[in-house]
Amino acid sequence: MTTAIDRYNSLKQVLSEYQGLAIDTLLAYIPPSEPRRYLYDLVESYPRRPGKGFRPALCIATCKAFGGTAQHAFRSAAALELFHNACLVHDDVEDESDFRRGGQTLNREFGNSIAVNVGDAMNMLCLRPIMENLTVLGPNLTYQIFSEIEHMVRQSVEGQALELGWVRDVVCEMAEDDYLRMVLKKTCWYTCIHPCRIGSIIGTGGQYNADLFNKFGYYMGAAFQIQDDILNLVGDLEKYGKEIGGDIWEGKRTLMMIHLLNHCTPQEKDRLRVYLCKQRKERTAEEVAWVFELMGVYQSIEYARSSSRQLAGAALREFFVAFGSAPDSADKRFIQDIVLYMIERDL
Amino acid sequence: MVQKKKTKADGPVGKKRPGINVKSKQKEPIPATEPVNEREHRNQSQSNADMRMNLGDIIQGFVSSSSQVVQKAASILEEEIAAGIVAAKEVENKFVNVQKIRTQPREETIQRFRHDSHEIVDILLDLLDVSVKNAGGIAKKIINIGTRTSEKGTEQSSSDMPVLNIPGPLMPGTVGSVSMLFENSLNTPTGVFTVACTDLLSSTGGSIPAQRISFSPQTITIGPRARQEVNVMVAIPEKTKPGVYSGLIQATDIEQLRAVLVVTVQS
Repeated sequence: MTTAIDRYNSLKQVLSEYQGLAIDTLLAYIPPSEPRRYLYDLVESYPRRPGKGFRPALCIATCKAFGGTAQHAFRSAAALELFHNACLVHDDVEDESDFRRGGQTLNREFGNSIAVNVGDAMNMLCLRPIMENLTVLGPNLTYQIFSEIEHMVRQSVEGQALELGWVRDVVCEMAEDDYLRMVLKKTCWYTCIHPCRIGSIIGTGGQYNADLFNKFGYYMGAAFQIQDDILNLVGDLEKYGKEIGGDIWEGKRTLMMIHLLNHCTPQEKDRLRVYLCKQRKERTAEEVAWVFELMGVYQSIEYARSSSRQLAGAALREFFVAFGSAPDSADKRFIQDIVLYMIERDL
Repeated sequence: MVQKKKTKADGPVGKKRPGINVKSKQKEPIPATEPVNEREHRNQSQSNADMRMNLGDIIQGFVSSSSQVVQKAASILEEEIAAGIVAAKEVENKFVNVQKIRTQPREETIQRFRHDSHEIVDILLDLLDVSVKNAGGIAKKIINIGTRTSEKGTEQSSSDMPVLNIPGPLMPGTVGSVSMLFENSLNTPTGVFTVACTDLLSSTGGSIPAQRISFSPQTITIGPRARQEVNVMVAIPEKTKPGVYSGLIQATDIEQLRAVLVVTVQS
C-alpha cells in the first residue's frame, strides 16, 4: 500500500524531473549576450532557485497522460515557468518583499528599477518558446496555446489588480466570494487550470474538452493558495522561503483576514481598519502580532485550513472527471498523487 | 516577532522562526517538561482528532453539495467563465477554423492579432521566415511521404524531397490547388495530425502568407498500410508580384512528413 511518505517522495522526484526539463528549456531561451550583469544574469536568478515546479509538471504530465510526448510540451512548460517567475519578480516589487525561495529578492538586492526591468524581460522571453511551438505543433495548436496563454496572463494581472486595489483602497467590507474570485483570477488559472489545459491540447492535438480541467484546477489551486497563505503566517522561514507574516505586514486580504474582518467586534474592526490604512513601513511589529493573535481568537486560520481541505476534496472529485478518460499511466497517477498528497498531509 | 526589515547579514535562512511569535489560541505548544509518554499520547490523540476533522472536511468537499466554500467557488467559476471565456473561445474558434480565417482579409487577421499582442505577430512572422530559410537543412530528415507523381521514399535527402508544384502559372486573385498522397507503410494507424505550410517566398523578396494556404481535410488520420489524399489550395493575393514562390509543408507530430510547395505567379 502506498503511504503518504511514498507518495511525497515520488511526487518530489517527478516534480523535480519535469521542472528540471522545463528550466533547461527555459535557460536555452535566455540570450547569451549583453547586457548580462543587470539583465540576463538576473533573469536566471529565480528559475535557478528551488521551487515547486507545479506548473511545468502539470503541463508535461497532462500532455503525457493524454498520449502526448514530453518533448512537445517542453516549450509551453518553459513559457509557463518563465511567466510564473516574472510574476514573482514583479510581486516582490509590489509587495516590497525581502526574501524569495531562500534568497534575497531582486528588488532588495538590486533595487526596484532593475527588478521591474528583469521581470519585463522574463515576460517578453516567454513569447519565443510559445511561438516556436509552431515548428512541432503546427499553426492550429500553436494558436490555441497562444490563446490559452493570453487568457492566463490577462486573468493573472486582473486578479493581482483586485488584490492590490483592495490594499490601496483599504477595502474592509469583503466576503469570502471576493477572495475566491480573486484567487481564481490571480492564481488558479495560471498555476493549475491552464497548465492542464495546455498539456491536454498538446497531448490530444486539441481533440479533448479542455474545459473539464477548469473545476479541477480551480479547486486544487485555491486549496494550495489558502495553504500558502496559512504557511505565510505559521510556516517555517527556512522551508517557506519567504518572510513569515509578510501578508499581515502587507495588509493582504487573505481568507484569514477576510474571515477576521467579518467576525471581530466593531471596535476591533475599527482598529483593524486603522491598521490597514497605514503604509507597510508605518506598521509596527506589535500591531502585526495583534492581528495574528486576533486571527487565533476568531479561529480564522483554522477556518482557512478547513476551507482548504474541502477544496482539496472537491479537487479529487474533479480529477476523476477531468482525467477519467485518460488511460492509467505514471503521469496520471502523478497528478492524482498531488491531490492525494494535499489531502493526506496536514494542510 | 518577525521583524519588518532585516539586514542583509540576517540572511534568509539564518534563524528558524516558525510562525509569528506571539501567544495565540490557535494551538497551544506542548510544554517541553511534560513526560515523553504523556506528550506522545497527547500528540496521538490530537493527531487522531485532527485526522477525523480533516477527513470530514475532505468528504464535505468531495460531495460538493455539502460544502459551502466549494459551492461558492463553483458559482464564481461559472460566472467568470460566462464573462470571459466565452469571448476567448470565440476568438479561439475563429482561429481553429483555419479555413474561415484564411478567407478573411489578411489585414483584418493581423489587426486582431495586434489587438491582443502586437509584438507577437512580428515574432511569428520572423519565425516563419527563419523556418523557410532553414528548410533545406530540415528536409534531409524526410522519409515516407509520397505524391501523385513520386514514389514512396524511405530516407530522403533534400535533393529528392517531394516537390508539389501547383499547376499554373496563376494570376493574382486566383486560387490554385494540387493533391498530395500520404501513405502509411506501418501496421499501426497514425495519430490525428494536421498539415501546415510556411509563408511562400520568392527570390525577389515577395511573399504569399501562410494564411492563404489551406488543406483539405484539415485533420488527418491514416490507417495501417493505407493512403490519404490531401488537397493543398493556395489563394494568390491581389498585387502579388510575378515570380516563383516556395515554402515548406510540414505535418504536426510526424517529423518525416515534409514537402516543398511551389507556385508560379504571372502578372
